[in-house]
Amino acid sequence: MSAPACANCRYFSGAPREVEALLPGMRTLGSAYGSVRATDGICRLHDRYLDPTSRCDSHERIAS
Amino acid sequence: MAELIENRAQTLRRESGSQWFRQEDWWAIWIGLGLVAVAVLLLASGSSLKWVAVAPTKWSHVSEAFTQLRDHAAQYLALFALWAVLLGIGTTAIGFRLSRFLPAFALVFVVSLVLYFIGQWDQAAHYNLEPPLVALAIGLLISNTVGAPAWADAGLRVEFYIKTGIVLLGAGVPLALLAWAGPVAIVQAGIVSLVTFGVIYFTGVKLGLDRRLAATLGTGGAVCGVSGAIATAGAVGAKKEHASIAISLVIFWAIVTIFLLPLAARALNLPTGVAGAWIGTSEFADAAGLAAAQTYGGYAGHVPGITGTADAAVNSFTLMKVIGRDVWIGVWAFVLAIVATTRWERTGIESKPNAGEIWKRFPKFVLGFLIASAIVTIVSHGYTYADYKKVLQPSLVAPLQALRTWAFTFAFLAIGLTTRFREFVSVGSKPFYAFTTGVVVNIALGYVLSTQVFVDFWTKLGQ
Repeated sequence: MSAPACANCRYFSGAPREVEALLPGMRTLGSAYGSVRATDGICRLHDRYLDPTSRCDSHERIAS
Repeated sequence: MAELIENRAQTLRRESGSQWFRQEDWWAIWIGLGLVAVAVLLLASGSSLKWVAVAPTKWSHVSEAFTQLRDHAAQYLALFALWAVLLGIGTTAIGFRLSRFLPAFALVFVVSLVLYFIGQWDQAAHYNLEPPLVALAIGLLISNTVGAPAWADAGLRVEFYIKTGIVLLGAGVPLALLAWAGPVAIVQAGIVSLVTFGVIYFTGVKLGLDRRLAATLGTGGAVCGVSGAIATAGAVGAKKEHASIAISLVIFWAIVTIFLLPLAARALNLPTGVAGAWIGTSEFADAAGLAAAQTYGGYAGHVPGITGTADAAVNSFTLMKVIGRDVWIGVWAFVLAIVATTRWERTGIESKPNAGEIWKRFPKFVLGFLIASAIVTIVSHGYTYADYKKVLQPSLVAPLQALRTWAFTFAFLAIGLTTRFREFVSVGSKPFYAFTTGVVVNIALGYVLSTQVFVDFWTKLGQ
Protein backbone atom coordinates (compact mmCIF):
# COMPACT_ATOMS: atom_id res chain seq x y z
CA MET A 1 0.00 0.00 0.00
CA SER A 2 1.40 3.42 -0.94
CA ALA A 3 1.91 6.24 1.57
CA PRO A 4 -0.75 8.94 2.03
CA ALA A 5 -0.47 12.06 -0.11
CA CYS A 6 1.69 15.06 0.76
CA ALA A 7 -1.41 17.24 1.19
CA ASN A 8 -1.95 15.70 4.64
CA CYS A 9 1.70 15.68 5.68
CA ARG A 10 3.04 17.96 8.36
CA TYR A 11 6.08 18.79 6.23
CA PHE A 12 3.95 20.13 3.36
CA SER A 13 3.24 23.85 3.06
CA GLY A 14 0.58 24.67 0.49
CA ALA A 15 -1.01 27.88 1.76
CA PRO A 16 -0.46 30.59 -0.86
CA ARG A 17 0.85 33.08 1.68
CA GLU A 18 3.38 30.55 2.91
CA VAL A 19 4.43 29.55 -0.62
CA GLU A 20 5.05 33.19 -1.54
CA ALA A 21 7.05 33.70 1.67
CA LEU A 22 9.18 30.63 0.96
CA LEU A 23 9.80 31.63 -2.67
CA PRO A 24 10.86 35.30 -2.55
CA GLY A 25 10.15 37.12 -5.79
CA MET A 26 7.28 34.83 -6.74
CA ARG A 27 4.63 37.54 -6.30
CA THR A 28 6.55 40.04 -8.45
CA LEU A 29 5.69 38.45 -11.79
CA GLY A 30 3.68 35.48 -10.60
CA SER A 31 1.31 34.54 -7.83
CA ALA A 32 0.56 31.72 -5.47
CA TYR A 33 -3.11 32.71 -5.62
CA GLY A 34 -3.53 32.01 -9.35
CA SER A 35 -4.75 28.90 -11.13
CA VAL A 36 -1.38 28.09 -12.69
CA ARG A 37 0.08 27.11 -9.30
CA ALA A 38 -2.92 24.87 -8.71
CA THR A 39 -2.36 23.41 -5.22
CA ASP A 40 1.40 22.84 -5.38
CA GLY A 41 3.40 23.50 -2.27
CA ILE A 42 6.72 22.96 -0.58
CA CYS A 43 7.94 19.86 1.22
CA ARG A 44 10.10 21.18 4.03
CA LEU A 45 11.61 17.75 4.61
CA HIS A 46 12.88 17.13 1.08
CA ASP A 47 13.04 20.82 0.21
CA ARG A 48 11.05 20.23 -2.97
CA TYR A 49 8.24 22.08 -4.69
CA LEU A 50 5.61 19.53 -5.62
CA ASP A 51 2.05 18.51 -6.26
CA PRO A 52 0.12 17.66 -3.05
CA THR A 53 -0.88 14.28 -4.52
CA SER A 54 2.76 13.18 -4.41
CA ARG A 55 3.79 10.55 -1.85
CA CYS A 56 6.92 9.39 -0.05
CA ASP A 57 7.93 7.02 2.75
CA SER A 58 8.70 9.83 5.20
CA HIS A 59 5.05 10.94 5.36
CA GLU A 60 3.94 12.18 8.78
CA ARG A 61 0.27 12.91 9.09
CA ILE A 62 -0.76 16.31 10.45
CA ALA A 63 -1.81 15.97 14.06
CA SER A 64 -5.54 16.57 14.27
CA MET B 1 2.80 28.21 15.61
CA ALA B 2 -0.39 30.25 15.36
CA GLU B 3 0.71 31.36 11.91
CA LEU B 4 1.33 27.75 10.88
CA ILE B 5 -2.16 26.76 12.01
CA GLU B 6 -3.65 29.74 10.18
CA ASN B 7 -1.77 28.83 7.00
CA ARG B 8 -2.90 25.21 7.25
CA ALA B 9 -6.49 26.33 7.76
CA GLN B 10 -6.10 28.64 4.74
CA THR B 11 -4.94 25.67 2.65
CA LEU B 12 -7.87 23.54 3.74
CA ARG B 13 -10.35 26.35 3.08
CA ARG B 14 -8.81 26.94 -0.32
CA GLU B 15 -8.92 23.28 -1.28
CA SER B 16 -12.36 22.59 0.08
CA GLY B 17 -14.06 25.75 -1.19
CA SER B 18 -14.98 26.38 -4.77
CA GLN B 19 -12.01 27.53 -6.82
CA TRP B 20 -14.41 29.94 -8.51
CA PHE B 21 -14.21 32.11 -5.43
CA ARG B 22 -10.77 31.16 -4.12
CA GLN B 23 -8.45 31.97 -7.00
CA GLU B 24 -7.49 35.40 -8.27
CA ASP B 25 -8.00 34.25 -11.89
CA TRP B 26 -11.70 33.78 -11.24
CA TRP B 27 -11.96 37.07 -9.35
CA ALA B 28 -10.31 38.84 -12.27
CA ILE B 29 -13.07 37.34 -14.43
CA TRP B 30 -15.91 38.31 -12.07
CA ILE B 31 -14.62 41.87 -11.75
CA GLY B 32 -13.73 42.33 -15.41
CA LEU B 33 -16.91 40.79 -16.80
CA GLY B 34 -18.99 42.50 -14.13
CA LEU B 35 -17.71 45.86 -15.34
CA VAL B 36 -18.35 44.89 -18.97
CA ALA B 37 -21.90 43.82 -18.09
CA VAL B 38 -22.59 47.07 -16.21
CA ALA B 39 -21.19 49.07 -19.13
CA VAL B 40 -23.51 47.24 -21.56
CA LEU B 41 -26.55 47.75 -19.30
CA LEU B 42 -25.77 51.43 -18.92
CA LEU B 43 -25.41 51.74 -22.68
CA ALA B 44 -28.81 50.09 -23.14
CA SER B 45 -30.35 52.61 -20.76
CA GLY B 46 -28.75 55.52 -22.59
CA SER B 47 -26.03 56.08 -20.01
CA SER B 48 -22.35 55.15 -19.70
CA LEU B 49 -19.54 54.24 -17.30
CA LYS B 50 -17.47 57.14 -18.58
CA TRP B 51 -18.15 59.45 -15.62
CA VAL B 52 -16.43 57.07 -13.23
CA ALA B 53 -13.84 55.83 -15.75
CA VAL B 54 -12.03 59.14 -15.51
CA ALA B 55 -8.44 59.56 -16.68
CA PRO B 56 -6.04 62.50 -16.93
CA THR B 57 -5.80 64.25 -20.28
CA LYS B 58 -2.85 66.05 -21.89
CA TRP B 59 -1.46 69.08 -20.07
CA SER B 60 1.40 71.51 -20.68
CA HIS B 61 1.80 73.30 -17.34
CA VAL B 62 1.55 71.87 -13.85
CA SER B 63 -1.24 74.32 -13.06
CA GLU B 64 -3.36 72.65 -15.78
CA ALA B 65 -2.83 69.27 -14.18
CA PHE B 66 -3.97 70.61 -10.80
CA THR B 67 -6.99 72.23 -12.43
CA GLN B 68 -7.92 68.89 -14.02
CA LEU B 69 -7.55 67.14 -10.69
CA ARG B 70 -9.68 69.73 -8.87
CA ASP B 71 -12.40 69.76 -11.52
CA HIS B 72 -12.68 65.96 -11.54
CA ALA B 73 -12.00 65.30 -7.85
CA ALA B 74 -15.39 63.69 -7.27
CA GLN B 75 -14.86 61.36 -10.22
CA TYR B 76 -11.41 60.31 -8.99
CA LEU B 77 -12.85 59.61 -5.54
CA ALA B 78 -15.62 57.53 -7.12
CA LEU B 79 -13.06 55.68 -9.23
CA PHE B 80 -11.01 54.91 -6.12
CA ALA B 81 -14.13 53.69 -4.32
CA LEU B 82 -15.09 51.49 -7.28
CA TRP B 83 -11.69 49.81 -7.47
CA ALA B 84 -11.35 49.56 -3.69
CA VAL B 85 -14.70 47.78 -3.38
CA LEU B 86 -14.20 45.41 -6.32
CA LEU B 87 -10.57 44.53 -5.65
CA GLY B 88 -11.20 44.51 -1.90
CA ILE B 89 -13.90 41.86 -2.28
CA GLY B 90 -11.59 39.80 -4.49
CA THR B 91 -8.52 39.98 -2.27
CA THR B 92 -10.59 39.25 0.84
CA ALA B 93 -12.09 36.18 -0.82
CA ILE B 94 -8.68 34.77 -1.70
CA GLY B 95 -7.37 35.18 1.82
CA PHE B 96 -6.27 38.75 2.58
CA ARG B 97 -7.67 40.94 5.31
CA LEU B 98 -9.69 43.86 3.99
CA SER B 99 -8.26 46.05 6.76
CA ARG B 100 -4.78 45.42 5.35
CA PHE B 101 -5.72 45.68 1.69
CA LEU B 102 -7.56 49.00 1.79
CA PRO B 103 -4.77 51.28 3.10
CA ALA B 104 -2.28 49.49 0.88
CA PHE B 105 -4.47 49.95 -2.17
CA ALA B 106 -5.04 53.61 -1.29
CA LEU B 107 -1.28 54.11 -1.55
CA VAL B 108 -1.13 52.23 -4.88
CA PHE B 109 -4.01 54.30 -6.26
CA VAL B 110 -2.57 57.67 -5.23
CA VAL B 111 0.89 56.91 -6.63
CA SER B 112 -0.69 55.54 -9.82
CA LEU B 113 -2.72 58.73 -10.17
CA VAL B 114 0.45 60.82 -9.95
CA LEU B 115 2.19 58.58 -12.50
CA TYR B 116 -0.78 58.73 -14.85
CA PHE B 117 -0.69 62.54 -14.71
CA ILE B 118 3.07 62.56 -15.37
CA GLY B 119 2.47 60.39 -18.44
CA GLN B 120 -0.01 62.95 -19.80
CA TRP B 121 2.50 65.79 -19.78
CA ASP B 122 2.84 66.89 -23.40
CA GLN B 123 6.63 66.54 -23.15
CA ALA B 124 6.51 63.08 -21.55
CA ALA B 125 7.32 61.17 -24.76
CA HIS B 126 10.23 63.51 -25.43
CA TYR B 127 11.78 62.60 -22.06
CA ASN B 128 10.76 58.91 -22.29
CA LEU B 129 8.40 59.39 -19.36
CA GLU B 130 5.98 56.69 -20.49
CA PRO B 131 3.77 55.79 -17.50
CA PRO B 132 4.65 52.05 -17.42
CA LEU B 133 8.38 52.76 -17.39
CA VAL B 134 8.06 55.58 -14.86
CA ALA B 135 5.88 53.38 -12.61
CA LEU B 136 8.39 50.58 -12.81
CA ALA B 137 11.43 52.79 -12.31
CA ILE B 138 9.95 54.62 -9.31
CA GLY B 139 8.79 51.34 -7.79
CA LEU B 140 12.23 49.80 -8.24
CA LEU B 141 13.90 52.85 -6.74
CA ILE B 142 11.68 52.87 -3.66
CA SER B 143 11.80 49.11 -3.19
CA ASN B 144 15.58 48.89 -3.40
CA THR B 145 16.46 51.97 -1.34
CA VAL B 146 14.11 52.87 1.50
CA GLY B 147 11.91 49.84 0.79
CA ALA B 148 8.15 49.71 0.34
CA PRO B 149 6.39 49.85 3.71
CA ALA B 150 5.43 46.41 5.00
CA TRP B 151 1.81 47.50 5.47
CA ALA B 152 1.58 48.05 1.68
CA ASP B 153 2.24 44.39 0.89
CA ALA B 154 -1.42 43.39 0.66
CA GLY B 155 -1.97 45.99 -2.08
CA LEU B 156 0.93 44.89 -4.26
CA ARG B 157 -0.86 42.14 -6.20
CA VAL B 158 0.69 42.43 -9.65
CA GLU B 159 -1.00 39.38 -11.13
CA PHE B 160 -4.47 40.20 -9.80
CA TYR B 161 -4.32 43.67 -11.35
CA ILE B 162 -2.87 42.49 -14.64
CA LYS B 163 -5.39 39.65 -15.03
CA THR B 164 -8.28 42.02 -14.33
CA GLY B 165 -6.84 44.42 -16.91
CA ILE B 166 -6.50 41.64 -19.50
CA VAL B 167 -10.16 40.63 -19.05
CA LEU B 168 -11.13 44.28 -19.64
CA LEU B 169 -8.79 44.37 -22.63
CA GLY B 170 -10.98 41.70 -24.24
CA ALA B 171 -13.75 44.31 -24.58
CA GLY B 172 -11.62 46.20 -27.11
CA VAL B 173 -10.57 43.19 -29.18
CA PRO B 174 -13.30 41.96 -31.58
CA LEU B 175 -13.83 38.21 -31.91
CA ALA B 176 -13.19 38.51 -35.65
CA LEU B 177 -9.69 39.82 -34.89
CA LEU B 178 -9.06 36.91 -32.52
CA ALA B 179 -10.21 34.44 -35.17
CA TRP B 180 -8.07 36.11 -37.83
CA ALA B 181 -4.90 36.65 -35.80
CA GLY B 182 -5.13 33.86 -33.23
CA PRO B 183 -3.86 31.02 -35.46
CA VAL B 184 -0.85 33.04 -36.64
CA ALA B 185 -0.05 33.99 -33.05
CA ILE B 186 -0.23 30.34 -32.02
CA VAL B 187 2.08 29.27 -34.86
CA GLN B 188 4.65 32.00 -34.16
CA ALA B 189 4.52 31.51 -30.41
CA GLY B 190 4.68 27.74 -30.83
CA ILE B 191 7.87 27.94 -32.90
CA VAL B 192 9.57 30.30 -30.45
CA SER B 193 8.41 28.40 -27.36
CA LEU B 194 9.68 25.05 -28.62
CA VAL B 195 13.02 26.47 -29.80
CA THR B 196 13.59 28.52 -26.63
CA PHE B 197 12.71 25.62 -24.34
CA GLY B 198 15.01 23.32 -26.32
CA VAL B 199 17.91 25.78 -26.20
CA ILE B 200 17.62 26.41 -22.44
CA TYR B 201 16.98 22.78 -21.54
CA PHE B 202 19.74 21.22 -23.65
CA THR B 203 22.25 23.97 -22.82
CA GLY B 204 21.48 23.42 -19.15
CA VAL B 205 21.83 19.65 -19.36
CA LYS B 206 25.04 20.05 -21.36
CA LEU B 207 26.38 22.29 -18.59
CA GLY B 208 25.54 19.61 -16.06
CA LEU B 209 22.37 21.02 -14.52
CA ASP B 210 19.76 18.77 -12.93
CA ARG B 211 17.12 18.00 -15.60
CA ARG B 212 14.34 19.29 -13.34
CA LEU B 213 16.13 22.62 -13.00
CA ALA B 214 16.81 22.75 -16.76
CA ALA B 215 13.11 22.10 -17.50
CA THR B 216 11.97 24.68 -14.93
CA LEU B 217 14.27 27.27 -16.48
CA GLY B 218 13.15 26.22 -19.97
CA THR B 219 9.43 26.78 -19.40
CA GLY B 220 10.18 29.97 -17.49
CA GLY B 221 11.93 31.34 -20.57
CA ALA B 222 9.74 29.77 -23.23
CA VAL B 223 6.18 29.80 -21.99
CA CYS B 224 5.11 32.07 -19.23
CA GLY B 225 7.88 33.39 -16.99
CA VAL B 226 7.40 32.84 -13.27
CA SER B 227 4.05 31.12 -13.83
CA GLY B 228 5.59 28.72 -16.36
CA ALA B 229 8.52 28.00 -14.07
CA ILE B 230 6.41 27.24 -10.99
CA ALA B 231 3.92 25.14 -12.96
CA THR B 232 6.76 22.98 -14.25
CA ALA B 233 8.61 22.92 -10.94
CA GLY B 234 5.48 21.58 -9.24
CA ALA B 235 4.71 19.10 -12.00
CA VAL B 236 8.21 17.57 -12.07
CA GLY B 237 8.86 17.87 -8.31
CA ALA B 238 11.84 20.21 -8.63
CA LYS B 239 13.88 21.33 -5.65
CA LYS B 240 12.60 24.50 -4.00
CA GLU B 241 15.96 26.07 -4.85
CA HIS B 242 15.31 25.33 -8.54
CA ALA B 243 12.08 27.31 -8.45
CA SER B 244 13.86 30.18 -6.70
CA ILE B 245 16.65 30.24 -9.29
CA ALA B 246 14.14 30.30 -12.16
CA ILE B 247 12.10 33.07 -10.48
CA SER B 248 15.22 35.23 -10.02
CA LEU B 249 16.37 34.76 -13.61
CA VAL B 250 12.92 35.41 -15.06
CA ILE B 251 12.49 38.63 -13.07
CA PHE B 252 15.99 39.84 -13.95
CA TRP B 253 15.57 39.32 -17.68
CA ALA B 254 11.93 40.43 -17.73
CA ILE B 255 12.90 43.78 -16.23
CA VAL B 256 15.85 44.18 -18.59
CA THR B 257 13.62 43.49 -21.60
CA ILE B 258 10.86 45.85 -20.41
CA PHE B 259 13.33 48.65 -21.12
CA LEU B 260 15.32 46.97 -23.91
CA LEU B 261 12.59 45.80 -26.31
CA PRO B 262 10.72 49.13 -26.68
CA LEU B 263 14.07 50.91 -27.08
CA ALA B 264 15.24 48.47 -29.77
CA ALA B 265 11.88 48.55 -31.57
CA ARG B 266 11.92 52.36 -31.46
CA ALA B 267 15.43 52.48 -32.89
CA LEU B 268 14.23 50.22 -35.71
CA ASN B 269 11.03 52.29 -36.26
CA LEU B 270 8.88 49.18 -36.09
CA PRO B 271 5.13 49.62 -36.59
CA THR B 272 3.20 49.19 -33.31
CA GLY B 273 1.56 45.89 -34.32
CA VAL B 274 4.92 44.39 -35.28
CA ALA B 275 6.65 45.60 -32.11
CA GLY B 276 3.81 44.22 -29.98
CA ALA B 277 4.17 40.83 -31.64
CA TRP B 278 7.93 40.85 -31.01
CA ILE B 279 7.43 41.82 -27.37
CA GLY B 280 4.75 39.14 -27.02
CA THR B 281 7.12 36.55 -28.41
CA SER B 282 10.15 37.57 -26.39
CA GLU B 283 8.98 38.93 -23.03
CA PHE B 284 8.66 36.43 -20.21
CA ALA B 285 5.69 37.57 -18.17
CA ASP B 286 2.32 39.13 -18.96
CA ALA B 287 2.77 42.11 -16.65
CA ALA B 288 6.29 42.86 -17.86
CA GLY B 289 5.30 42.45 -21.50
CA LEU B 290 2.25 44.67 -21.17
CA ALA B 291 4.46 47.35 -19.61
CA ALA B 292 6.75 47.16 -22.65
CA ALA B 293 3.88 46.95 -25.17
CA GLN B 294 1.94 49.84 -23.62
CA THR B 295 5.11 51.90 -23.57
CA TYR B 296 5.63 51.27 -27.26
CA GLY B 297 1.99 51.93 -28.07
CA GLY B 298 2.46 55.31 -26.39
CA TYR B 299 5.02 56.23 -29.06
CA ALA B 300 2.38 56.02 -31.82
CA GLY B 301 1.57 59.50 -32.99
CA HIS B 302 4.30 61.03 -30.80
CA VAL B 303 7.52 59.61 -32.17
CA PRO B 304 8.19 60.31 -35.85
CA GLY B 305 8.45 57.19 -37.99
CA ILE B 306 6.43 54.89 -35.74
CA THR B 307 3.23 53.89 -37.51
CA GLY B 308 0.14 52.05 -36.32
CA THR B 309 -2.26 52.65 -33.48
CA ALA B 310 -1.42 52.67 -29.77
CA ASP B 311 -3.79 49.77 -29.13
CA ALA B 312 -2.17 47.63 -31.81
CA ALA B 313 0.96 47.10 -29.70
CA VAL B 314 -1.07 45.89 -26.72
CA ASN B 315 -3.44 43.82 -28.88
CA SER B 316 -0.72 41.99 -30.82
CA PHE B 317 1.23 41.47 -27.59
CA THR B 318 -1.83 39.94 -25.93
CA LEU B 319 -2.59 37.68 -28.88
CA MET B 320 0.97 36.42 -28.96
CA LYS B 321 1.59 36.07 -25.25
CA VAL B 322 -1.79 35.16 -23.80
CA ILE B 323 -3.33 33.20 -26.68
CA GLY B 324 -0.09 31.97 -28.23
CA ARG B 325 1.87 31.04 -25.10
CA ASP B 326 0.03 31.21 -21.77
CA VAL B 327 -2.84 28.88 -22.58
CA TRP B 328 -0.45 25.97 -23.22
CA ILE B 329 1.07 26.04 -19.75
CA GLY B 330 -0.91 23.03 -18.48
CA VAL B 331 0.10 20.98 -21.51
CA TRP B 332 3.78 21.74 -20.90
CA ALA B 333 3.45 20.83 -17.22
CA PHE B 334 1.62 17.58 -17.98
CA VAL B 335 4.07 16.44 -20.68
CA LEU B 336 7.09 17.27 -18.53
CA ALA B 337 5.53 15.48 -15.56
CA ILE B 338 5.27 12.33 -17.70
CA VAL B 339 8.88 12.68 -18.85
CA ALA B 340 10.07 13.30 -15.28
CA THR B 341 8.36 10.25 -13.85
CA THR B 342 9.31 7.89 -16.68
CA ARG B 343 12.72 9.08 -17.86
CA TRP B 344 14.52 11.09 -15.20
CA GLU B 345 16.32 9.98 -12.06
CA ARG B 346 14.15 9.13 -9.06
CA THR B 347 13.84 11.59 -6.19
CA GLY B 348 12.32 9.29 -3.58
CA ILE B 349 8.97 10.99 -4.07
CA GLU B 350 6.29 9.22 -6.05
CA SER B 351 3.89 11.17 -8.23
CA LYS B 352 1.46 10.27 -10.98
CA PRO B 353 0.88 12.68 -13.86
CA ASN B 354 -2.77 13.38 -14.42
CA ALA B 355 -4.29 14.85 -17.59
CA GLY B 356 -6.60 16.86 -15.34
CA GLU B 357 -3.53 18.97 -14.65
CA ILE B 358 -4.00 20.67 -18.04
CA TRP B 359 -7.27 22.22 -16.93
CA LYS B 360 -6.17 22.67 -13.32
CA ARG B 361 -3.25 24.86 -14.39
CA PHE B 362 -5.07 26.59 -17.25
CA PRO B 363 -4.84 30.39 -16.76
CA LYS B 364 -8.58 30.87 -16.32
CA PHE B 365 -8.53 34.65 -16.75
CA VAL B 366 -8.03 34.01 -20.48
CA LEU B 367 -11.66 32.81 -20.55
CA GLY B 368 -12.71 36.20 -19.19
CA PHE B 369 -10.73 37.90 -21.96
CA LEU B 370 -12.52 35.80 -24.61
CA ILE B 371 -15.98 36.28 -23.08
CA ALA B 372 -15.47 40.06 -22.83
CA SER B 373 -14.52 40.06 -26.50
CA ALA B 374 -17.61 38.02 -27.37
CA ILE B 375 -19.95 40.29 -25.37
CA VAL B 376 -18.78 43.49 -27.05
CA THR B 377 -18.75 41.79 -30.47
CA ILE B 378 -22.39 40.73 -29.99
CA VAL B 379 -23.41 44.16 -28.72
CA SER B 380 -21.75 45.89 -31.67
CA HIS B 381 -23.38 43.54 -34.19
CA GLY B 382 -25.58 45.57 -36.55
CA TYR B 383 -23.78 48.85 -35.92
CA THR B 384 -22.18 50.49 -38.93
CA TYR B 385 -18.52 51.47 -38.53
CA ALA B 386 -19.55 55.13 -38.30
CA ASP B 387 -22.08 54.39 -35.54
CA TYR B 388 -19.58 52.23 -33.73
CA LYS B 389 -17.10 55.13 -33.65
CA LYS B 390 -19.82 57.63 -32.73
CA VAL B 391 -21.79 55.66 -30.14
CA LEU B 392 -20.18 52.44 -28.97
CA GLN B 393 -16.57 53.58 -28.86
CA PRO B 394 -17.06 56.58 -26.54
CA SER B 395 -19.87 55.13 -24.42
CA LEU B 396 -18.87 51.50 -24.06
CA VAL B 397 -15.36 50.65 -25.22
CA ALA B 398 -13.44 53.77 -24.18
CA PRO B 399 -14.54 53.69 -20.49
CA LEU B 400 -13.59 50.00 -20.28
CA GLN B 401 -10.23 50.82 -21.90
CA ALA B 402 -9.69 53.57 -19.33
CA LEU B 403 -10.41 51.15 -16.48
CA ARG B 404 -8.04 48.65 -18.08
CA THR B 405 -5.28 51.27 -18.18
CA TRP B 406 -5.81 51.92 -14.46
CA ALA B 407 -5.55 48.21 -13.66
CA PHE B 408 -2.35 47.96 -15.69
CA THR B 409 -0.87 51.03 -13.99
CA PHE B 410 -1.50 49.48 -10.55
CA ALA B 411 0.31 46.37 -11.79
CA PHE B 412 3.31 48.21 -13.25
CA LEU B 413 3.83 50.11 -10.02
CA ALA B 414 3.48 46.91 -8.01
CA ILE B 415 6.13 45.16 -10.15
CA GLY B 416 8.68 47.78 -9.13
CA LEU B 417 7.61 47.88 -5.50
CA THR B 418 7.85 44.09 -5.11
CA THR B 419 11.16 43.65 -6.95
CA ARG B 420 13.81 43.51 -4.27
CA PHE B 421 17.13 42.66 -5.80
CA ARG B 422 18.54 41.57 -2.45
CA GLU B 423 15.89 38.82 -2.38
CA PHE B 424 17.26 37.26 -5.55
CA VAL B 425 18.95 33.99 -4.78
CA SER B 426 22.46 33.40 -5.98
CA VAL B 427 21.61 31.63 -9.22
CA GLY B 428 25.07 30.35 -10.11
CA SER B 429 26.84 30.74 -13.43
CA LYS B 430 25.51 27.61 -15.17
CA PRO B 431 21.77 28.38 -14.80
CA PHE B 432 22.56 31.97 -15.80
CA TYR B 433 24.36 30.90 -18.98
CA ALA B 434 21.67 28.38 -19.93
CA PHE B 435 18.83 30.84 -19.41
CA THR B 436 20.66 33.74 -21.05
CA THR B 437 21.41 31.65 -24.13
CA GLY B 438 17.68 31.03 -24.41
CA VAL B 439 16.95 34.74 -23.97
CA VAL B 440 19.31 35.66 -26.83
CA VAL B 441 17.87 33.03 -29.17
CA ASN B 442 14.30 33.96 -28.18
CA ILE B 443 14.81 37.67 -28.88
CA ALA B 444 16.55 37.03 -32.21
CA LEU B 445 14.00 34.48 -33.40
CA GLY B 446 11.10 36.62 -32.20
CA TYR B 447 12.54 39.54 -34.15
CA VAL B 448 12.90 37.53 -37.36
CA LEU B 449 9.40 36.03 -37.15
CA SER B 450 7.72 39.35 -36.27
CA THR B 451 9.59 41.62 -38.67
CA GLN B 452 10.29 39.27 -41.59
CA VAL B 453 8.20 36.11 -41.74
CA PHE B 454 4.86 37.46 -40.47
CA VAL B 455 5.56 41.18 -40.90
CA ASP B 456 2.67 41.89 -43.31
CA PHE B 457 0.26 40.27 -40.95
CA TRP B 458 1.32 42.19 -37.83
CA THR B 459 1.56 45.45 -39.78
CA LYS B 460 -2.03 45.03 -41.00
CA LEU B 461 -3.19 44.37 -37.45
CA GLY B 462 -1.89 47.80 -36.51
CA GLN B 463 -3.96 49.50 -39.17
